[in-house]
This record gives sequence, structure tokens and C-alpha cells, in this order.
Amino acid sequence: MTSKGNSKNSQRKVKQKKQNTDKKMVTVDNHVKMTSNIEPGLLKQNDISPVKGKQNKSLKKGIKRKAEDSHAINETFQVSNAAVSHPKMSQKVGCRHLEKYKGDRPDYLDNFKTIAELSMRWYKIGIPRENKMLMHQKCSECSLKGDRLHACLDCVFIGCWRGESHARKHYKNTHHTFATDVQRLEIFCFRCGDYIYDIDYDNVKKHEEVRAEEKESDIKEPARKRARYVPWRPTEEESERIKRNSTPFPCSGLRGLLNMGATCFMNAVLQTFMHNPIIKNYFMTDKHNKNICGTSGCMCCEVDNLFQEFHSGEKKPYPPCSFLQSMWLSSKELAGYSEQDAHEFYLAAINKMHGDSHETKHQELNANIQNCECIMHKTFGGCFQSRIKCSQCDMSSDREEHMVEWQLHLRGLVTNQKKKNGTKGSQESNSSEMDVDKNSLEDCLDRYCEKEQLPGFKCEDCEIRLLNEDDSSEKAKDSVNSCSRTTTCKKLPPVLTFVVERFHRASTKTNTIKNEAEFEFPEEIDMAKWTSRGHDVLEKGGTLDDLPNYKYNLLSVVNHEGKINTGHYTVYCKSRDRWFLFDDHAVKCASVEEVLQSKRKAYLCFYVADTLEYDQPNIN
Amino acid sequence: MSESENEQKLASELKSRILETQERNKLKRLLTKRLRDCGWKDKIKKRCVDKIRTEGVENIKLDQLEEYVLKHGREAVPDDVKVEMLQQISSYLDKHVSQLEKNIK
Repeated sequence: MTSKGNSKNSQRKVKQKKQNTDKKMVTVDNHVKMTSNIEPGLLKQNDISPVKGKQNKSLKKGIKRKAEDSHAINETFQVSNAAVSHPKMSQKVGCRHLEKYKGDRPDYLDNFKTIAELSMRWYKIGIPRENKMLMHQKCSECSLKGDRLHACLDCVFIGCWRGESHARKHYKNTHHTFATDVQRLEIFCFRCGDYIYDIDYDNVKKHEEVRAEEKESDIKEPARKRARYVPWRPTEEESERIKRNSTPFPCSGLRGLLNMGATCFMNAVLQTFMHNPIIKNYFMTDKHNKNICGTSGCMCCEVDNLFQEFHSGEKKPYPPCSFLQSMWLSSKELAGYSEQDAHEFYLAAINKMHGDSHETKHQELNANIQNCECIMHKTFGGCFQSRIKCSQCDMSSDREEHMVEWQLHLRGLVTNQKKKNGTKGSQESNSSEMDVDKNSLEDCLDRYCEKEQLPGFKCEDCEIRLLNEDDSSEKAKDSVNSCSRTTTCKKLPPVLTFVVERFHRASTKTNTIKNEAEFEFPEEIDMAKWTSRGHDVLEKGGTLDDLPNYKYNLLSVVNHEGKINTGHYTVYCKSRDRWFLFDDHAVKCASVEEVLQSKRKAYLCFYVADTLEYDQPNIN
Repeated sequence: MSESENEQKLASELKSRILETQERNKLKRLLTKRLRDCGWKDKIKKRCVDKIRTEGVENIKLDQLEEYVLKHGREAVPDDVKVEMLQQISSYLDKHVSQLEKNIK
């Protein structure tokens, strides 16, 4: 791989080069051979044997050799940077002082190279053994360690920056103008009083970074020989050939799931998990490795396995057999080949994964679920606050309630279904005619957070006071009926799940009915209005502008088509900023408009937070 | 030995011990982690970037920038982070001071 400085394009080209024609391979081999001739020398120098005299010698040798390669690198970098020339970055020499310095000293890079190499050893590779060369990592004057140390580029001196600033003093005494931050390897010009960017130094730094990685892998996995870093840049002819003969790497992470017999409810919810950025991050960073965990029937391992399968590059639809099996074993309601509810599966999956996760292993059984560290509760877990308020005595009491979903009640049953299947209630159909088309997400949330009168509820304070006073019975009745409840969201989860209550059961005697009313949902929504904080601000007559960002973006929509007893689940998911429709094994491109059009089918809507909050530091 | 001399000696002993045992690095790592997690780092960075944008890259020097953020940055450190760091330091001192005092006497 070329170093980071190259544009992405050329990186891809190198990758593609490997998959190229045989002829190409021969030239690559030659290239490697040519450089591998130098390797023995370099390898010796890579060995970090702490022998004093030899080390110094080999170091110098190494530098000479590297000087040779780094010339080549410098050239290639210059070419590549010119190709991607950025208007602001065009100035390649840091400042005029440095330009003069370079002219005066042809060996200007040598000292920096040595410092860079040592710095890499100290900060990146971290050699456990005491090494004489490393003893310099402290201020030469006051032997303070590790506080923004700066090394002089002209002589052997390392000075601290803060406090007494021996680095600055050194400049005043000796007029050595340039110093480099030992850890970050940035060049500081004392005459400019600022850090400067210089392409030559930067190239050396990049080169050393790659070398450090090589050494690191040599130490960590001595058995596995890593291919040496060889700078390479295609000529025009070569790049033409690459373009002609290569096919772009297909995007991974999209894969259909086979229907194992009415398991579309599972497939739909699984697809939303697979495209949920937070869950994805968790599993892709190997936080739960199925090879390490090894528990049989562990749901987290199954999801980890799914991620592996999804990103394996295989295009055939995947049959989630083992997932289904462990699901069946864990929850009896969902076992069997009958059609199930996606919402129930969603809840069951959260519970099961919560139980199986590493984070909950040491947790007590009745631990507070709100501070649960497991991935599912961290992703979906939020908190409602219901506040009961008495208008007579200003008593208010808050209660918090953990949530992993936000259930939205649809108003108005859609008549066709209702008239055919429904047996009950002219009342409801009346009301449905009254509020037609009032079922957008915002409306539903407004209704959810509306003040609700509690007729039978008795305010404790008022009751006690009335017992004492005992005279005005009229007032007593008033206060008994004056309590109200408002539910707002106290803590929004990173991923908000809205469940549209489509399956409605009017009473225990009637059958469940599917409500196919239109439910409009936006692509992005600002939740500030419905948070406890926002609600309080609005009640006091303030504006929502000062609140933090509560914006959410649509992530995926699970649709249910068909009737109550039998139907089909499909899901729209957003992956890499594009929408896809997952219909069991089939994956199709979709547009946002199409997604937002599924008003009558939408059942579960997932929204992801625009910005994630920082952790609040907790003491104890 | 007088009281103040003793104290001075103790202080310098402690200082070198903290440096030798890497306690300082440990504390520093903890502090950087806390500051990053609570968003302090991003806040300060944004402040610096804003300043550079308004002034222009060419017109501002490192020292001026440092001066601009230093006071504000100190104040912006959340109180619980300060408390935690103080707790850490004092618990370290509790462990080592008595031992050192014995050595000196």
C-alpha cells in the first residue's frame, strides 16, 4: 500500500493492480525483488537489539539507505500531490526561514529522520526493554518527561515546552531556529513563532510511520512476514491498463436473507439491525467475537456471524438457519413456522441480546435497566417521564419509565377493512370520519404528549388538606378532578423506534383488526418539542433554539402488507446514504420518495440521531 | 533539620517519584480520556478553529491562540472531572507521603 498521503484513487489502483493480468504480476514481482535485495540490511537495523555501539552504526547505515529510498518517495509524493493539488496546500515549503535553511544545509533531513525513527519507537511501537537510545525522551535541562517535548533540528537537544520552556531558551542561546515536536513530528519555527508545514519533512514522517507499522507487526507476529513497503506509482500506460482490466469492488454489507418459511418478520427486523450504524459499529469493531464468546445459542454471536456473512463479499442470499434455531430455543412464542409479529420479534431480540451480551454478565439481575451497558439498550433504550400535576395545589410528581420503542396510536380506522371485518362500534367510524388524514408522525407525537385529564385520580396533598379543613365539599370535588398527566421523553435513545399500532383490538370479545390508515412520516424530524426539556421550555414561553440538537434522520422502515392473519414484511433501509428495499432474498435500489410513500404499510420506523451526545462523566 | 527544609525535600522527592513511576503519565492519560469523553476537547478545538477562521491563518501565531483559549479552557473543564482528578491525586499522595516521611527522618 502506498502511504496515506496518496489520494484514495491511487490506493484503489494499487489494490486493483494486484488483481490484474499475469503480465502485470511479473513486473510487480520484479519490483519486490529489487527492493528485497536491500532487505537484509534493513532487517538488521529493524532489530531492536539494545547493543550500544552497533546500534548507532547500523542506525547511520539505515539512514543512508533510507535516504536513497526516500528520494524516490519524495518524488512520488510530489507527483501525487501535484495531481491532487489543493489551492491552499500548494505552498510546499513551510516558511522563508526554512527555505534558506534548506539551501544552506543539504543534509537537512538527516536529524529529523533520526528523531522521527526514535519517536516512532517510543510512542508507536512501545518497546518494553530499556534502551539507551530512548533515554533521551525527556527534557535535557529539567528531565521532565513527556510534556510536549521539542527536539532541536541542529543539535542533540530536547527541551520541554510549558513552564520554563527550555526549548525556547535553547533557541535564545543558540539561535537554532527549528525544533520538532517529538511526539507529533510537527516542525516549529521559532522565528515565525508558529508550526509550519513542509512537504519534505512530511514525507519523511509518513515514511517512518509506515516503517513503524512494519516493525510493529514484526514484533507482534514474528511468524507472519509482512510484505515490505515499496513505493509505487503507475505510469500512464499502466494506469490505462488498470482501468481497462479491472472491475470495481462490489459494495459489501448488502445481502438478502432467505425466507425459511414465514420468517419474513425476522428478516425484516434483522435487516434493520444490520444497517443500524451503532449496532454495526459495535460488531464490526469486534466487541463481541463469536470465536471468543463461544456460548452456544448466544444471540450476540449469531448477529456477529450475520455481520461476517454480510460483509464477506458473497452475493447469494444468506439462510439465517442458526439464528432462527437459537431464536426458537430461546423464546417459545416465536418458535414454529407460523407467521409472527415483527414488533414482538424486535422486543424478543432486544431481551435476548441483552441477556447474552458481555456487558451484562457481571450485572446483577435486577440492575437498573436504564444504565444498562449492553449494546441493544445503549442503542434503543430511552426514558419517558410522566408528570402528574394538580392544578389546585401545584403538586407535581414525576415518574420515569424505561422505553425501547415509542408506540403511536393511529386515529381513525380505515373504513374498508373495518366494514368488512369489524363487527363493532359505529362510534369509531364516526370519529374516523371526523379526523381524516390526521395521522402524521408529528400529530401522533403531539397526541402522545398531550395533557391528559385524570378524572378519578386523587391528589394526595389536596386530600390531606381537605381532611383538615373539612368544610368546603365543593372544592373537594374540584380538586379530585383537577389532576392531569403529561408524558414526555426524558432521554432520547440514539436510535428511536416508532411502532405504529396497526393491529388494534377494540375489546376482548372482538377480533384484532388491522388499521390501514395513512401514516405520514418525514425523512428527518426535530424531536425537541416532545422532550421533557423542550416541553418545559415551551410551557414557560421560551423558544427551542437554545436546546441541543435533537434532530433525527430516518434509518429504516418495516412495512407490513396484507391482512392481519397473513401478510408479508418488507423493509427499506438506508445504507451508505442510499435507500434499498429488502424483500427477503431480493435487494433492490429504492428512492426516498418511494420510502416515504409507504404510508399505509409502515409498521416500524427507525430514526437515528443526527449527532450523538457525549458521555457525561460519572464519579464513583 | 527545620520544618521548611523538610518540606522542600519531601516535595522534590515526591516530584521525582511521580515522574519515575509513570504516575504522572497515568493521570494525564485519564484526564485526556475524560476530557475527550465529555466533549471538552471538541469544544476547545472548535473555538480554536473559529478563531483561526476569523483572523486568517497567516495572521495568528501559536502564542496568541494559546492565550486566547487558555483561560476559557480552564474554566470549561467540568467540575466533576476536576473533582475526580483531585481525588486521584490525593489518594496517591496519601499512599506515598507517609512512607516518604519515614525515609527522610
